[in-house]
Formats: sequence, C-alpha cells, structure tokens
Amino acid sequence: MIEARGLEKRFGAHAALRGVDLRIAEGELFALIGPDGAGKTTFFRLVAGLITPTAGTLRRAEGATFGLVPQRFSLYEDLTVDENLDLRARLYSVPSAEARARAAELLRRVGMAPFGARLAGALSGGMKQKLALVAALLTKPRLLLLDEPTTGVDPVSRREFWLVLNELHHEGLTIVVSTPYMDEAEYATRLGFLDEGKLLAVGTRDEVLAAFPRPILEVLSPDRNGVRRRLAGLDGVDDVSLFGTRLHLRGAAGTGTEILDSVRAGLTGLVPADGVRLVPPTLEDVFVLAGDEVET
Amino acid sequence: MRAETSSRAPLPPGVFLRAEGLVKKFGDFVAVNGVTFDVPRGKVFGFLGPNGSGKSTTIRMLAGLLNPTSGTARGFDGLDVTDTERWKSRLGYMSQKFSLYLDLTVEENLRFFGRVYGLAGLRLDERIRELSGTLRFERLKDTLTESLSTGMRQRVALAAALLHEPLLLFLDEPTGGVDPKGRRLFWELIYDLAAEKGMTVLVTTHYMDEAEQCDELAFILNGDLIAHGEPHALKRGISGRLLEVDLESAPFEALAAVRGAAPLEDAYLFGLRLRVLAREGRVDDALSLVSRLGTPAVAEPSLEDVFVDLARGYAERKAAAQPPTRMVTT
Repeated sequence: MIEARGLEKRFGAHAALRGVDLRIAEGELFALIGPDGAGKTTFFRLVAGLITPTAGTLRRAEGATFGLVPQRFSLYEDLTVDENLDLRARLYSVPSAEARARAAELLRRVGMAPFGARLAGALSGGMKQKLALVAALLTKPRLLLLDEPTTGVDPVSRREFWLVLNELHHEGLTIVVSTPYMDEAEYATRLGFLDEGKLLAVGTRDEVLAAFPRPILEVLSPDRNGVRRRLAGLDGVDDVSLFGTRLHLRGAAGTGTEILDSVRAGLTGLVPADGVRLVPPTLEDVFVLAGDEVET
Repeated sequence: MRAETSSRAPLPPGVFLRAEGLVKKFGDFVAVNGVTFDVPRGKVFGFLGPNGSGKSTTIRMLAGLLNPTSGTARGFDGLDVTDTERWKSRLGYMSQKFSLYLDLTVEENLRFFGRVYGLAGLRLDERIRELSGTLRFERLKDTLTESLSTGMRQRVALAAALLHEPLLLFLDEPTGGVDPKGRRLFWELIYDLAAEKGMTVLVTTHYMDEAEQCDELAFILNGDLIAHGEPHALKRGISGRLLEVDLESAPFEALAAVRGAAPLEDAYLFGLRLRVLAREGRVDDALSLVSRLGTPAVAEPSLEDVFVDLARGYAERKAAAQPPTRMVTT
C-alpha cells in the first residue's frame, strides 16, 4: 500500500527523515513509534502528499485514497459537528445524500450520534478526535493515516477509539497510526521504531522485543525513588527507569543473572529479594534504550 | 468583604497550599465548581483529569494568573492569593505551551526570563549555570531554541520557571507531546526537586502512569473534585477485584468474548493484557469466565482503573441527581 525507498526529507539544515526504507502492505495496522522530533509527522505528511521528498521515493498503491487525522485538531471549532462534516463532504465532492448517510453511520459507530448539533469547540478531547476520525473516513478511503490521535485523550475515550480502529482494521482498511502510548503499539500487526529520522526497528511486537539486546530487571517497591538513588552508579546497570509503580533496571550486557545478586544486595533493607526479578523487555524498554543511545 | 474568621486560622504546618471552594465561571459555563483541597509541603501533588475538565483553570487560579469567581487560596506560610505580587514572586509556573522565544538561543531565553524575575549580574549567571547542569542542557546553551526537540525545550522552560528559586512549582501538563524517554527523565528531575530542595510541586497530567509518581492526587471531572488522596488509598477504594490475563494474540477478540458479561463491572485491554474488574461477590464467576482465555492473576489496580471507576461513579451520581427530562414511565 505504501513503499518508501531511501526516503529523505530536509527542512533547511535539518534532516527530518534520513533514508527510510519501509513497505506497508494492504490491510496492515501499522504503528509508528518514536521520540518527539523523530520524523513521524513528516512521514505522514509525505504519505499524504502535503510535502515532497528531498531524496528517495515514496509511493502509494494505485488508487490508494487516504484519509488523514492530523495531530492538531483541524476542524472548525465554531461550526457544529454536522456542519463540519457537511463542509468536508462538499470539499471532497461527496454527493450530499451519500455524505449525510455516511456521516450518520460513522457518528453512530463512534458513539457520537446525539452530538451532531454540538459545536466542535465544545466537544471533549476524546470526541474531537472521534470527529476527526469520522471526517477522515467520510470519503471512504482505503488508507487511514492517524498522527497521534489519542494523545491527551482520557483513558475511556482512548479505549473506545481503539475499539473502532480495530473494527476498521478487520474490515480491511489499511491503517498507519503513530502513538506515544506503548500499550497501543501492541495492537498493531507490525510496528516501526523511528528515531532521529531513521527507522531503527521494524517488525511484529515479538520480533522487535526478541531483538532487544539487554537484560531487564524489575524492582517492586513503594519507595521507588529510594531505590533509584540507591542503585545509581551500580556496576553493570546502565539505566534505572520508573515504569508506573515499578522500576526497570537495564543491564549493560549479558543475561542479567550476573547482576541479580548485586542488585539484591544493593537493595538490602529496602526491597526483599523476591522484589527483584528478571523480566522480558517491553516496548517501553526498547524506547528508553534507543533514546539513550542517541543521547550519548 | 465578608469576614471569614474560621478560614483565617493558620494552615497546619504540613500544608503548603490550600484551595478553598474555588469556583470559576465563564459566562454560564462553570469551569471549576467549588474545589477544596490541600497541597502538602515538599511533596509532588498530582492534579488529574481529562482535557477540558478544569485542571488548567484551577492551576491558573492557584498560580494567581486568573481571578476566581469565588473562593480563594492560601499558602506560602501566611499569604493569600489576593496578595498577587508577593504570591507570584514565590512560585514558578510552567504551562503545556512553554512560552520560550524560538528565535533566541537557550541562554538568551534564560537571561530574558531571569530579568523578568528581577535577577541580574552574577546571581543570574550562577542560576543559569546551575540549572543547565541539573537539567542537563549545558551543551545546548548557544543553540537556537527553535532547533531543540520538544523534550529539550521543556527542560529549558522548566529552568526558566526555576530561575528565581520558587518555593512552589506549578506544572501544567509539562509532558504534553513529549516522548516516553523524555517524560521519564522529566519526572526524575521533578522528584529530585521535591526530595532534595524541599520544593512543593503541583502538576497536572492526563498520563496515568505519571500520576503513579505523585505523593498525593486529586481527580477533577467536569469542574468537580471527585477524589483526593494518596495513590494506594485511592486504589483501595476501588469496588470489586481486578483480574488480568496475559494474551498471546488477538486481544480484541478476547475482549469481545467477555465484554458486558454480568460478573464484570468493566473489561478492557492494556496492550496484550486483558483486564477485568469483577463485581463484588462475583469474583469466582469472573475467574471462571476469563480462565477460558488464559491464566488469570489478581492485579493491583492502576490509577487508570481508579480514574475509570471514579468517573463511572460520578456519572451514576449525576444521573441519579438529574433524571433525564424525557424519561418515560411505563
């Protein structure tokens, strides 16, 4: 559906994308993850044809119509939901009877049927994003591009949004979505990890995790910052990160068994021995490591 | 002005800031609906709620940037928010849209904000040197702010808010648009400020994993304060028991198989994990239901669970208080 070869995009001296090779097949639900400024938005803009590559090529399959949900809400806040959709339909010359039926069906599907007369500016963050999704789907695209659609959205709306994305995926729509939430990236058929304009890893979640080169130890403790301070500078541990209620310690090398004892010893009196264990890496660990490697 | 004898008593020593019945109306719209809570001294206090719930309006009133329609705030050992200039000189404020000048270098920005706060000369040099070290952007001092990543800009904006050594730091969605790595680093810095410098921090966020890092929390929804307390206490308040099943694949199919089942208060996915909240007294039924999908384990609720549970209870109370006008009796 999408094929990028040696894709480069420079803005003046700044290289937003630096040689990206990526194929996304029809019917995929592809997640693009990566730090801020990694080039995710640039990639979406290139796919949407809003900007052109500096070098390399980007091809969309023949007849691959697309809908884009941009990162910033781009509908009219001073128009109602229905007015916004009506305007969008006219812009894309969707016949009005068809547009109206389709808008009603899509609004019902995202749970917004009762809100047609509400001003877009008066919608909650979650509903604004659902409206943007409906607007993107109005033209019956074969490819849906979503640039961080759930950032800042409350947990319940985030769940609802992904239920809809999953349904659309099952109906055969090709979806490319970027997200800062690693739990969402796990719903994708494949994911790509973009950093400083380069695609560092591509594959299924299991493939990406299997390629993670370091051991991870998990520490459970109510005094997470006490643990963090106690372990700073411990040999063989090159990162201590807070993961919600847990801490993840990353080993500099090896399988982790080498440092298990020294970590337990280092935490004597603060964490019982069974509060420290080896765990498989998560996508967040992948993310943190990539960030560290770039910073040095 | 009305005498408020009872509220004039000094705050208890552990309380650094108190919001007292804060209300903000914009025309007919009630953005904040009588919010009262205490922010403990030297702690990280999280103020949580979805976009548009009244978080930023509350924090702006507390920071002396917006006048409340009614109610007040007291803090800083004897000040009142109406004493605006003295109040503001003691606090630092950083918002989700950091107001740095993109066409200035990092150092030029910090010099500008330092002068705004009345710092100059050696004192200002020293503060800039200290903060660029602590916040780890020393090597970028001569870089144009425009070419920094969002995460790095955020650290510079934090430095700008800390130049005048405030006693209380207000952070309004400081990590919006920042990636997980940057967010984690930012939180470590926040914690060190509270733990090492004794600074009190009030931070708003909609990231529930960040909220786990706070010492105390308040939840706001539609302008109403719906809960307030320490994270573990809030988690204990959840009705029902949370069960978790690790799924190998097909998470949405697993969710569809159990969603809406009677023993479950709630069912949702967190990546490839299915989490269900068993209704009180129905834990065994819930266990046998989800056992078909994998091996269930009892899970500790996350703050996301707390939020969803509180939001559900809030919606039910609202519905009970205001029956729909077109309700049909049969």
